[in-house]
Amino acid sequence: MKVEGEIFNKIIAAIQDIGDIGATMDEISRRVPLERHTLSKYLNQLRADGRISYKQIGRAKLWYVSKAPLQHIFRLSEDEKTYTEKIFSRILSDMPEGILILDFDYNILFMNHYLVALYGNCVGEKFHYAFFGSYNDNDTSGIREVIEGKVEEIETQVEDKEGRIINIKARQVENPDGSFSIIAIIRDVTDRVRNEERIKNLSELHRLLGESVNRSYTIDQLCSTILKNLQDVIGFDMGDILIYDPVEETLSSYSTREGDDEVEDCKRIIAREAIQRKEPFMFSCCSDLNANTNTNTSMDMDELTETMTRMAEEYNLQELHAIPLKTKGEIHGALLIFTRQGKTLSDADRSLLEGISESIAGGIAKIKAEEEWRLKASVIEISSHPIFMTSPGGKFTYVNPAFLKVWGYDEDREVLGRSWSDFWARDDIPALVRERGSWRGSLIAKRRDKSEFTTPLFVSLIIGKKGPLQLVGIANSGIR
Amino acid sequence: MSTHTATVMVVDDEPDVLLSVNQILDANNYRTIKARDGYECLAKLKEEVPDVLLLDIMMPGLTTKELLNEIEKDSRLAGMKIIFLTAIHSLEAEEIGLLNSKRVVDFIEKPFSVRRMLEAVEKAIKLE
Repeated sequence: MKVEGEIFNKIIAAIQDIGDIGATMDEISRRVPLERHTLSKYLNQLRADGRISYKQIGRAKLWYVSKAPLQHIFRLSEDEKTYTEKIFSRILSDMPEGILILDFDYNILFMNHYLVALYGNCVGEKFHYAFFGSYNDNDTSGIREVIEGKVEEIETQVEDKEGRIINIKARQVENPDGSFSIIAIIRDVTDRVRNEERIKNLSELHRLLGESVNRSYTIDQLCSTILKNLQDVIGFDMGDILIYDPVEETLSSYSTREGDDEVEDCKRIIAREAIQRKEPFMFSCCSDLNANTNTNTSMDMDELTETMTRMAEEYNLQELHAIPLKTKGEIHGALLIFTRQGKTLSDADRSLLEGISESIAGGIAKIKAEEEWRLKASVIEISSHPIFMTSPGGKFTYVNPAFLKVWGYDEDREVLGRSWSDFWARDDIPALVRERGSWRGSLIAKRRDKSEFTTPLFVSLIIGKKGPLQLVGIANSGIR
Repeated sequence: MSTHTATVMVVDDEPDVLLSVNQILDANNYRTIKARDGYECLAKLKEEVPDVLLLDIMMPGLTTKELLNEIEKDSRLAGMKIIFLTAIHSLEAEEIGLLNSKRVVDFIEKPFSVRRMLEAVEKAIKLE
């Protein structure tokens, strides 16, 4: 083995001595005195090891020291490759990931089918130009660091010249002459990254939606929060939520971007149509309207078409989506989403809009219900009749301002938690109400200053999901 | 207080609601029948036809829709009035078709005041 090694080194030294023009077998044999067939055997062995290569010039072979064995393999035609080289290059070519080989000067030496499908055949071109459309002044791929030997291996995720997100994993490969080649595994991860971003934005959207409702935002805050976050998820160009007031039969806009009066009118017409249809519809400016809106229209088709066309022209729009916001049996408004020319929403985006519209409608319904109850509660607050609530056992849980005034207290915390008997002369009333459901009569009341007065009183039991919940009482404000 | 002796069947899977509503109806001079779910309700309806059925929605076992379908089939129950006493919203009940029956005369959402319930029962009986 040692002898063989010495012979190999002598052959390589001989080829190097002859220089870059290549060495014929005769020239080598003059420096390494071996039988022709023995020299041929050693040359082929060295070539199989990737240490030397040859070029066929006519019938002669010119031998060179292989500076980069990998590069050498890919330069050979199929006929010139050994069996192992053929297998190796086929595996690389057909890999389901991109394989890229560069020399130290950023020249692309090899790219497999995966990369050719993405970028065309760029062998011979500079890496940065082929992938990023520019030269390597602003290298973000990390390849430069590998080439300059600052790091041995990098893994980066960058956007290429086509807007694709590519994952690059590259490392140095040492050549027999001490130089380096770069092997990079490149994957187009655009879909994965976009999906991850979408999921992240969606999660955020749902979190904000829940937060908006739970924190009792106003409808205005809810709508602007949703529109902003929905835009991050599906990237629409214009959006609005129009809230329907069934009493006044009006639609109010919550867009963060105010259009002129005419555009606002157009939006109202489109929203009203979605509300009347009770189902989503879409208008595409590049297609026949009839193909994109169903015939279940409640208004004159020409008027609707004209409105949407006007809107599309005004803002250079491609698609108009209108989704009614409905909870079970009740319409709260419409979600309008518009995209600019050249942009369309995917089926997944449309499904998302329909799904999210139910959540928006649920949020609006909840806020409206809360507003309604706050309004009703204010009636109790301003009532001149003393109104109170107690637990089924008679502990005070709520009193209105009129109760405080008549009983002579300043704040409700002076009253809450105290017993029935602190305020009324008869303490059997809670039990009677629990048994009979209600009680009506005249009762002696006890003020804070120990004075007494008689007042008509009506008390009713409130029953909740799980059973008796509260007693609610209303007394008379007239003090006798 | 009411003096009539009409019969009210209360169907609710919550024992405290069932107990409380029955006790209050008894105290207000109604005859009462208790049932804890749809199956027990149907079984008791075979024995006796109440004037009013106070019916919860969302009980285990037989669904309210199925229970209503069974009631519709029984001609003996044609005069019985149904009042829903439930935690679900009336729009939701309407959506699932629970308010279509002519027998359904009122819909009371929980929490409710007993006064509201007693008025509804009295009104339903007068409808006869």
